[in-house]
Amino acid sequence: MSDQDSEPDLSRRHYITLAGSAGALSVAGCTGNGGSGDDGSSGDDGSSGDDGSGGDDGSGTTTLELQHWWTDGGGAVGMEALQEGFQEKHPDIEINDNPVAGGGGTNLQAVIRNRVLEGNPPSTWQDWPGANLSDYVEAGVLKDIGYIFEGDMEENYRDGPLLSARAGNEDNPYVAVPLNIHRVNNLFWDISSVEEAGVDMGSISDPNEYVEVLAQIDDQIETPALSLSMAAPWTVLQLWSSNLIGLYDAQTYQDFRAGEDITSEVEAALEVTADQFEYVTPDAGSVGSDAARLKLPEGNGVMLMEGDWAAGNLFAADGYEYDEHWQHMPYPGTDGVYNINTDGFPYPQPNPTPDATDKWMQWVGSAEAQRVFCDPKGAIPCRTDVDLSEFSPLMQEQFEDFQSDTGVLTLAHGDGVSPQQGTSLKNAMSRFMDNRNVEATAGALMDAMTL
Amino acid sequence: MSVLTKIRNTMERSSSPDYRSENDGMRSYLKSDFFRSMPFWLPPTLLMGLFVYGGILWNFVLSLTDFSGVVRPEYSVSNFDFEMYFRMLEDPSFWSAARNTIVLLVVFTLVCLVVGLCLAIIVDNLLKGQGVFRTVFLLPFALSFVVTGVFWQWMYNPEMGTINTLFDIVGMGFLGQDWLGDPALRLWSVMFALMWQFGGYAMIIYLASLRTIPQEHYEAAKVDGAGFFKMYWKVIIPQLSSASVSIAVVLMVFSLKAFSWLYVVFGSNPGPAADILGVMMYREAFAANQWAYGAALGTVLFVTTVVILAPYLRYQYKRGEL
Repeated sequence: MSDQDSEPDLSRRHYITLAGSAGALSVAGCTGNGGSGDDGSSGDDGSSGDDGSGGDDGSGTTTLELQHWWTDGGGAVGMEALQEGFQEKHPDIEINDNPVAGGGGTNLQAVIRNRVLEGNPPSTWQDWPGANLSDYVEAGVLKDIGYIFEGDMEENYRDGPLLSARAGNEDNPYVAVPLNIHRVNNLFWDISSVEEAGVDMGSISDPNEYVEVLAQIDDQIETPALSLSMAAPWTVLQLWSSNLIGLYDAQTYQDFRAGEDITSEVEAALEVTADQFEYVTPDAGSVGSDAARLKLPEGNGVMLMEGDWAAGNLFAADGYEYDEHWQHMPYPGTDGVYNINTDGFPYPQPNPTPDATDKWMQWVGSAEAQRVFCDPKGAIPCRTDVDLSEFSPLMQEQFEDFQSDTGVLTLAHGDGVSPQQGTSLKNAMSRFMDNRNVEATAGALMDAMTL
Repeated sequence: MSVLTKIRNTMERSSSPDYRSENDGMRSYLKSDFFRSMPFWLPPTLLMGLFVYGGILWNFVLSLTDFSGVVRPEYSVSNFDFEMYFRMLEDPSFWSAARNTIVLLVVFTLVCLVVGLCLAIIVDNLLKGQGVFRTVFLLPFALSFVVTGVFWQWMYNPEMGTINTLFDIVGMGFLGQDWLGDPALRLWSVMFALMWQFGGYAMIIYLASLRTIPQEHYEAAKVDGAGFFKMYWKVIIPQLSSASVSIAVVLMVFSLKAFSWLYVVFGSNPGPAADILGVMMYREAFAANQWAYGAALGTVLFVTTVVILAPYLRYQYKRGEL
């Protein structure tokens, strides 16, 4: 055949060798370009291109780009109300609503980091303020917005959310506007199960007594005493941090956050947490947090330690009424402490629409905005002067507590820890869930806070 | 040397036999298959080099920096170090993820090979319904990790999952377990689900190889008095070594990519009992903002893949199949 007649000057192997060499050359070319292109600050050309199109160029309509992960449930309803209220006040500003759903915000955060890195951030985005923003503050990509807080907002925000607005550190300037607050240290329970077990909820004053109550429920009725999702470590981190506050006080918790050596306290809280593991539902390791919350209305769980967003699941359950079928109180021993998890909007710089973003921030920080958003979201406002007459009785109680309680920033979400600290805490808790090693976990938790 | 001297030297050299022979060499090079085929293989090679291997190399360079995802790293050699790799050595999460990755790689691959081979032999010996069984066993392979992850999450549910329910129905409820919640069972449960998905793939490749073995080999073995098991063990299975190597390599690479399955079921933190390097890499880069550390983990994962593939590529090369 013809292919045999042609000159066999190069074998297939030679082609592979040569192709490999060419590939290597192209890689070398790539790295050469990468090096020169990437280290230059001029590489941030994306921002200028985008700035112009949607920016405050002084002519016509301005487009404010908002990114968030509130795409369903109360968050989506609240966000819609928030945007409608803004547009009524500022009809000349269009909103480019650009949500990124999924991953509990992780997907959006990955998008935002890329955009910030390219110098092309949106006008603003939903995030957990507090130490979660510390990387951005260190990088100098968030603007000092003290001028927005001056006067009205500074007077009406309480200390906890104001600290979150400073990325969790009083030495930082204001860089974000917190919008709503969830409380982390809550205990929900099914009233009929508790009565059947003969438990007096009002008598539980600390986590140790709470463990005794769990044992009593376990002994008296068949329904599992504690509904807890252990498929991911953040729920257990919430539980442990509530145990730490419940066994000691807010100051001990703050000492832990500050990286101080409080080994014995951390270990004591871990031991109580391990005791509580004995009473969790049989499928705790397999079910997600939503499924764990629904065990109360399904009759498959008696107690639930969760953030107050869990109330949304309980309110949504058919025929399961607050104060009739389920109740709530601050987690045992934490009465007087409000473990704060906020949502809010950071102010990036360079900003594609500075004037419109200023207006958005002022709107988010207003009593009216927080009223229209927080009610459907199932959270309380950051401001103390919001009219709560239309809020649920539970949220009204929470708000009352918030006015007088000591606010501490959550470790399990983002207000109180940097992303690196948060991941290390969850890694440590994840190991604890598997091996129950109190000593090693205490060391890992405290190491995490020194990162 | 003056210009005139240079020109004279050039003219003298061009008239020399050596120079003419150099020109002939160039002409034959331009006419060669290599040069003439260049438009076909060079562009894809350069593109692959740039976008695949360039990315891998860049990832390695990134792992030498302290990039945290918000400020661009400084790409200067004086700032490069192996800090992320040393950090890895001290990180208990890395060791548990590496251990699980290796266990998954070895056990999952071996079990899939055995299951695939058994299924292939059974299907090959079926007188009827071969097509149906082939499809039934291969179907899970066509599903994505996301679908099978959700599917097995339901199957493994200790209260309402199919597995524990089946045990209850047959009166063996005591065998029911919290398959994904119990750290002692978690990785094995993951491996079983992956084996369910990839056993069919191994079967189909083995089946194709079995079909290439001449009927005379079976008959000769039988004439020599070999029973069913001895015939397969001594005569047929040794002829499947090439297929086994190919399947093993594909399965090992799939096991390194089990990220999607684990992420769907456990999120970014499956716990030390089931964490693998791919999930840890994602967690460090996307949740903890430790992009340089994530890049270092990616590099380790890449090297692991190369270590797995290299003997196979060498084997293929030696057989002249590459």
